[in-house]
Amino acid sequence: MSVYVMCLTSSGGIPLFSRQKGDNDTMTFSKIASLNGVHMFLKSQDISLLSTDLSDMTVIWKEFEQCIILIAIASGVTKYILDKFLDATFGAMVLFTGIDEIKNSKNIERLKKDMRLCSSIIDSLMDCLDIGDKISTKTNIVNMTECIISSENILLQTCLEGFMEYLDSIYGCVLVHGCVAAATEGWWSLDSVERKLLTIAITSESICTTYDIPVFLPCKSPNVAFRLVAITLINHVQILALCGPNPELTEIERFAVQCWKSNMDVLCTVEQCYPRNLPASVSLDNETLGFLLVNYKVEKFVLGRNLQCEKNRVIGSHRLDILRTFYHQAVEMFGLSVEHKENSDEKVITNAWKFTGAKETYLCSEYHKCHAVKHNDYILCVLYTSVVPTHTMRLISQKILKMIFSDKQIYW
Amino acid sequence: MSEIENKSVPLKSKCKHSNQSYSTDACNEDDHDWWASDSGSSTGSYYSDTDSSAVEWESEIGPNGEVFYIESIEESLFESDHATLDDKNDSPQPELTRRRSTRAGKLFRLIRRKESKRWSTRNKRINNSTASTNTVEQEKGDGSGSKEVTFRDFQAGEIRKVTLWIDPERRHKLGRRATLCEAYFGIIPKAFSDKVRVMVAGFIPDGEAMKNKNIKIGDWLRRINSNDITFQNLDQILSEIITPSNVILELQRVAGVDVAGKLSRINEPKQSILAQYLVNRENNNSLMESLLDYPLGVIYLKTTDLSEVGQELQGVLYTFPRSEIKNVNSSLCTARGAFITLNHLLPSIVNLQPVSTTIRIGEKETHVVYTSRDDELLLITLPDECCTSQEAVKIMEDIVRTLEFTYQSLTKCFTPMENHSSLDHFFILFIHRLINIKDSFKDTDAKKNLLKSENSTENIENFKFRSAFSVASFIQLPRDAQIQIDAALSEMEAMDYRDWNEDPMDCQRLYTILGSCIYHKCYLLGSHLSHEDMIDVHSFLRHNGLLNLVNQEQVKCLVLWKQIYPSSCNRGIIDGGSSDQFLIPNGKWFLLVVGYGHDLLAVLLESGGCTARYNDAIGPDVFYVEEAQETLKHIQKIGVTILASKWITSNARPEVIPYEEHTMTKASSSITENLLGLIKSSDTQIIPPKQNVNLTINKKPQELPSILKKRSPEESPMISGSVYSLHTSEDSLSQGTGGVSEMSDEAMPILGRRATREKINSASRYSDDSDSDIDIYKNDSHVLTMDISNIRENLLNQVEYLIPKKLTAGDKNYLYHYVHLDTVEGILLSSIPIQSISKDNRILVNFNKCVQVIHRLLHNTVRFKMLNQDIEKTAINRSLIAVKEHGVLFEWENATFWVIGRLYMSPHPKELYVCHQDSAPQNLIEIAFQLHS
Repeated sequence: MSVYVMCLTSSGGIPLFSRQKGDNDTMTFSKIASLNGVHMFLKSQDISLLSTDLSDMTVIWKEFEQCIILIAIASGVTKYILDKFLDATFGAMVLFTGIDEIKNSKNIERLKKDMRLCSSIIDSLMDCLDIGDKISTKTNIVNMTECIISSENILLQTCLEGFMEYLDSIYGCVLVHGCVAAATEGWWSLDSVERKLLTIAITSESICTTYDIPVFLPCKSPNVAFRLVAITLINHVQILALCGPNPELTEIERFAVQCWKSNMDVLCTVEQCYPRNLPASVSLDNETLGFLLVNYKVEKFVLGRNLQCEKNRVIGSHRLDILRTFYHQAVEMFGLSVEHKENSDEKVITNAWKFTGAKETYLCSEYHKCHAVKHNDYILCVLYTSVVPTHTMRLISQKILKMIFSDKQIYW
Repeated sequence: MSEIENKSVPLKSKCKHSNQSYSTDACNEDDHDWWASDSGSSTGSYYSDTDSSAVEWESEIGPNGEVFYIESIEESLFESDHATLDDKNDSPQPELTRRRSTRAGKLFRLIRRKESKRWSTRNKRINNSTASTNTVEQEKGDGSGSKEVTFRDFQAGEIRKVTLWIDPERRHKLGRRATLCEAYFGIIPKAFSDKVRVMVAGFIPDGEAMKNKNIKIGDWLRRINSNDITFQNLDQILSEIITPSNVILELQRVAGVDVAGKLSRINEPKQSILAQYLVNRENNNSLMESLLDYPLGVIYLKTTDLSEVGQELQGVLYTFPRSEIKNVNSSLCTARGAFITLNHLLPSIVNLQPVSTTIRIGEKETHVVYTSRDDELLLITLPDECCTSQEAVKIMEDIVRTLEFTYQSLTKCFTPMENHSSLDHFFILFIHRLINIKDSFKDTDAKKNLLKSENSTENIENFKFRSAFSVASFIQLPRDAQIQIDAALSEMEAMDYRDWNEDPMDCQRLYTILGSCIYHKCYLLGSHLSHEDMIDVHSFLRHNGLLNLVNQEQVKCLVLWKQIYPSSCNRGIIDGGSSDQFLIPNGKWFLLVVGYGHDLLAVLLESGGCTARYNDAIGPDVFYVEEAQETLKHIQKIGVTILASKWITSNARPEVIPYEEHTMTKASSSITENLLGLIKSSDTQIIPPKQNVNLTINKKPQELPSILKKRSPEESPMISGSVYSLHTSEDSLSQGTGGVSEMSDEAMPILGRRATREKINSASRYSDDSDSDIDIYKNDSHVLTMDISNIRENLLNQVEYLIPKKLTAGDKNYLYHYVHLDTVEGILLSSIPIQSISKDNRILVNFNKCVQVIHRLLHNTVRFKMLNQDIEKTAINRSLIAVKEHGVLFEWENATFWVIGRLYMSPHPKELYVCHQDSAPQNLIEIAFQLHS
């Protein structure tokens, strides 16, 4: 029910920041120092401390660039996801400060001040964690980009590409309610952590309509800053781009209006898609409450709910949490989301066991059922009501898959 | 005196069971087969004539009264085929006795032994020397085939003087039966043919004499400290040495043959390499040193009262592995401070105890698992390559259970120094079962053998799986076999001897039997223990390698006697405060394990309450050991063992399919067809049973005359089939054999094998209809009056015509594997996988791993249900609190299969896992019902 993240310098053990979420006691300095001390002591013995399991919680230590120690404590999260979370947290630190500053900082106080900038991003990252509470309004996944599928995606794509050409950049995307509706190829070539951080950086503060901030890309360019430009086209629809020093922001704004004016109605229909996140041509059965479609190779996902159901029943937002939990606990656990390599078969027995060849998985609880099926690089997870017979789930899931991938209008 | 009494024993039994007088001889013959030790040792020792097996294990009684004795049969020494015993049993044994016939004799022996024990302690010295002489003689007889040794009786020869250091403190090191000469020098003395001169007949391993090259077997021991030695004054002279000192021995060579090699272990029982490995504790140190490089270890720590200036190993009560010479400790030991800190720190942060920590040493990840008891902390480290952290946690639980069962508490286990060597041994056995250590064993032969016999991946996985869940594989034999087992165990447990003895018995019983359980190979056949004790006993047997031993090879004789602390008796800790639990007597508890062939019988005994007071360190009472041995032999004689082994290999209950078969069927596994299949199969299902019922009804009266020779099905005790008899199986059978031929056969009498099969068939059909408890009891009483050979024959007949039982519906079998996991009862029911190809094994391993993951998810539900209050406090993920079923589909190299786990909450949590082919009509519900009901 809670999550903590702490950051210290690994040479001096000086705490840089500490964030927490959930119904828990505040972390005192002495506790942080002891947790760090254990890690330091083991390091002196040539042992690296990785993680500790408690009955429902996990503590994880990770050192970055031999200069920063991040410690996270969280309940209900798999180790894999917690590890991704720490990567993202360190990425957030780099995003505004740059790796050089973190590595070679002489002035700790200034570094601490710099870290304050990224605390809102880290809070948003903590919201992405599946810690088993029902508070969060939007279900997000820490290591994947959230998307929205609409029948107008192709149109948006052409429009976006024209706009990016003007900016002379290959990194750009259209955000609808924080979900990527269309993006350039270059955008998908960014690391999933970078994509996540850039999206969060823009959406975590919703007051502004236009952004122009310098950002370091944690993987692609940790030393040289890019310009992150974001322009709100209509309510909840933004356009994001990474570009060089030119052109000026006002010029970009002007061109954006020019470029998108003709497609205003398209933007509106896309905006209407939310929160179903699927085009109207794909109809969902009554028994399905929601779905999660993941492309594990590109690391993006669409999470949508069946609005039809919502009318009939009172359904909280946590319903979609179930799908996320299911994805972490069942799908990732059985390696549905991992490429199956034929040649590594020999190693399977000798090394630590990895599941290979998993195609489908399902889970029945007293209140609902989940089913996941793998299709090429895609995994579709569907949340059903508990009345659906288990074998029928397979049929319905296959039907949805077929609908999504046979529809030529759907471009994702 | 004893001679006369011994003679009277068989006479007595003959009188009582006069109708069975013929069988006593047969019984003796049978004894001979099993124990093969009555010969050659009939002189001297006071009970060796009647029951020499007792003598054998009595030599192994430790100073605290514990026994661990294994004797392997000859074949397994030379690795010959294991089928010999089965063959022997297959051949008809025409004259079989009830085991009652020997009972009366036993009682006399009990009384006699009570007298003789006192006598024996008085005259121990004389007695011992004769006893050991016996063994020498006997060994000589046995080993004559290998190397002829002649002790030539020449007076002349080279005279040597040898100085040996002796320490009278070590007088009792070898146990109470050892003579002074054995204890001091490690020399087994024997008189030459003139009954005066003393010959060196053998060496005690690790004794002083063995280390000295100048002492040879066959030498004449002339003088000790220049006193002339005769066989009569030997002990007297030795007993005069009371301070540790150097002693000069004067020896004269008389025999020309050097026989040091073969005969050095002369007074030890014959043991196969595997058995030696279990018993021998000599190589521990070297083995431990070889483990130092691995990221693993066990450490027991005191976590309070540590000062900053303490020495290096402050607070460490036990550490494994370690090296006494090089003063090297495992990396775990040097880094222990970190784990103590975490164990203290984390509860203060999040109110939860740490369970395990993952660290990386070099390139290897390892898991450190915590178990804290008050101020003390046990850490076990296991490398990631051998098990995941979840497995490590569960295996730790299993080990702690075993240790507490053996030593009462972890403190009492690790604190006394004298336990350390046995703990070393325990952990070496455990680590070797778990990890493929490719290191230098001292003798490469042993290594090869070990590798071959137990280190295949599948075995390790199985061991891990069983340990992780603390469950015993149970096989459900046909009901009348179970009745036989239960009857035999009950009879032993009741210890109601009035019927067997006309004379009043005035001696109080020494023990009460709390329960017992019986194994064939590593499979549990029946248990009369409470669930928690069952889990304890099973963990004990597994971790001490006994189950592995009987699974791999046959033993000629196995006796283990040990004081234990069962959890049903609160580990022997009596707290006066709680009055709600029933009174636990202030007593002691013992585990007795006896084994023959592939079978083990474990008996839990209690001393306290109504029994006679237990006096320390006398070892097991022969009577109880023999009683257990008799019971086990009885169960073997009635054919349960053969039934079980056939049952295991038959792949019929329930029938599973190998993974190769259905590359063909795979094509048709699309979902829509499955749906069709579902409808079709349920349609076709409804019709055949009706036909069948008609058939059977028509058939019955006609069958009866044809099998009059035996018994009519209604009377037969073998009504059962199995608890889980299914309609479907019979349907398919009758379909398979073809309804037409059956119809045509009906007119003529059915004879021979066919008749038997039909009979069983109808019998199991009958059982489906009404099988009330009353019926069973009737049959039970019926059984008791039956002749034993009849029982045996019936049991074995049944297995001849086993009807494969299918769990999946439809006309084809789709089941690869299933596991029924009951962690409360500590029982695992599973199909016995067909182990033909490595792919099967991989799928099996995959299955096991899946079960682990699914189990963890399902366990959330169990844990949540157990929380009555504090629902708000727990950190269990809310989405996972009501999971009851979880399944995964795998697709590998032309095989598509599901692994599905299901949780049943009532009456207590049980889990069922199945692995079935994808193309199966989706009738898991049916499977589950069938197994669960």
